[in-house]
Amino acid sequence: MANKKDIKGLICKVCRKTFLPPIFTCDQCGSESFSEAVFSGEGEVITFTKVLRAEPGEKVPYVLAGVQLKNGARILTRIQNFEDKEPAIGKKVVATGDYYRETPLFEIV
Amino acid sequence: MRKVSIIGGDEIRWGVLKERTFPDMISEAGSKAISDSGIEKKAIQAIYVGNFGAPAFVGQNTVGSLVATTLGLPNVPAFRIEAACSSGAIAFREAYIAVAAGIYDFVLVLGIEKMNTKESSEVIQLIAQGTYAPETAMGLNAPAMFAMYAQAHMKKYGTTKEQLAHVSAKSYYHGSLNPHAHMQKPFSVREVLEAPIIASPLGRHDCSLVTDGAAAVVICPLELAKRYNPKPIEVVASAIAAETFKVSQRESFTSFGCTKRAVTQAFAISGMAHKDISFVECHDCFSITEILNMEDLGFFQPGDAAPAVVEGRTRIGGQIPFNVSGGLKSKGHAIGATGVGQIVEVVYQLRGLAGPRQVKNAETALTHMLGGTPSVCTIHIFKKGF
Repeated sequence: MANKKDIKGLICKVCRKTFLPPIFTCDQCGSESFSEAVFSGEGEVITFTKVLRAEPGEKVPYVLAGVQLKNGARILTRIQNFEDKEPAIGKKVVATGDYYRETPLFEIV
Repeated sequence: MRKVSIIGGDEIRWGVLKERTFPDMISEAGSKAISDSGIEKKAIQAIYVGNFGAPAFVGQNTVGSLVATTLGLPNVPAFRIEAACSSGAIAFREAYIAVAAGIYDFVLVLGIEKMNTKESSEVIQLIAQGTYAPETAMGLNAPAMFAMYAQAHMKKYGTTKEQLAHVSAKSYYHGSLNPHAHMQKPFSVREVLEAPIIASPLGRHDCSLVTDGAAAVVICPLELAKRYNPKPIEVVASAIAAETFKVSQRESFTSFGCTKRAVTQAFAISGMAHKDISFVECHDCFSITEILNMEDLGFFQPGDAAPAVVEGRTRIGGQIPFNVSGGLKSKGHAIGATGVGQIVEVVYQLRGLAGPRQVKNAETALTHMLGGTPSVCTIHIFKKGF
């Protein structure tokens, strides 16, 4: 990929809904055909929470967020720079190039 | 389809029951419900069990057979239904379908969960197994998931943390009147607000309890009911609806589509309207969840639920009481038992046996359970069958 902040995705060949892999069947139209795509790492916070109690072994706090990518899928991810910039719904975010368990991570712009 | 009724219903006292064994809890709830029904125990033809986590919490699978054998009915077919928090409600619905279809006449539905066998962080992890694994791996657990709904609802409708605290304070008050409740102690709005944060904006008192509990009901065709029990409760609607398991793909973060679809079905089947419902037992796993439920069930317009709670409109004696048992917040959330426990509360209330928490002139009730992320919603409507 041209930019390390770009995100590898999939587009449903039938209804054009966008996903991050893995996806087996489109949840919008039922198609099983996807083409590969590259999404830019820019997005917006749909909702979020700062988690203070978690499973054994998880370091807290962390900020979990639903992010709508500008030209691609909606994903559940983490915001990395929440200690410097207050998370809020509607804030612009950008992929940091880091991954946690195969999911791209973001920071508030 | 035959009309179906509940002829017996009862439960154990819920709480942290470290001194009680899993079979001991099954035995008390099942035997009391059968005894209340008026039928001979050997008349039971099948047992449907709601349970979420026995393999992890108590190291037991094949829970259906355990229930049958424990109750002295080893030759009765029995099995476990698991759909996270909706397990008990779906067990009831499946039993209802079997009786309505004429497959069985007498079925026992039993919900059971024993969760206080693990440390609390381990319990959070086990409950999180009810969410979509790749999202769970990102650190999604139940408080975090519903906290994301709370943030979105606050942003869209101006709902405040203090209004959410009124939901918990109301449920604690109701639970303080219920001798079967896990937490029989009222907490003030201030006490709720001062609790440590679990996942912002939700604090410890916004979260439901980790409860051990068991509840059971016996159902049969309405036409046979009065031979056995003079006060049957008629099941007037059973509805279920689903929604994506993936939190990232939710249709909304300010309402639950599965609830909206299930309640539309339930009212269509029953031929009843909101004004006909005497009280609601809903899935208040978190304070914000009750707010969304009040709106999604159609008792309040979007954005109107939180002010209504503050005004006391969902208290006992209010316009439409919600969670008169104390709900998941105060009666407790014994996951697979909770849906059956709600129905037992309906039995008590419609028979006029609910003591200080009795809803005056209760004629009907609606029960609502979510499950998963929430990816399923189960709704039942009941009325007096006497």
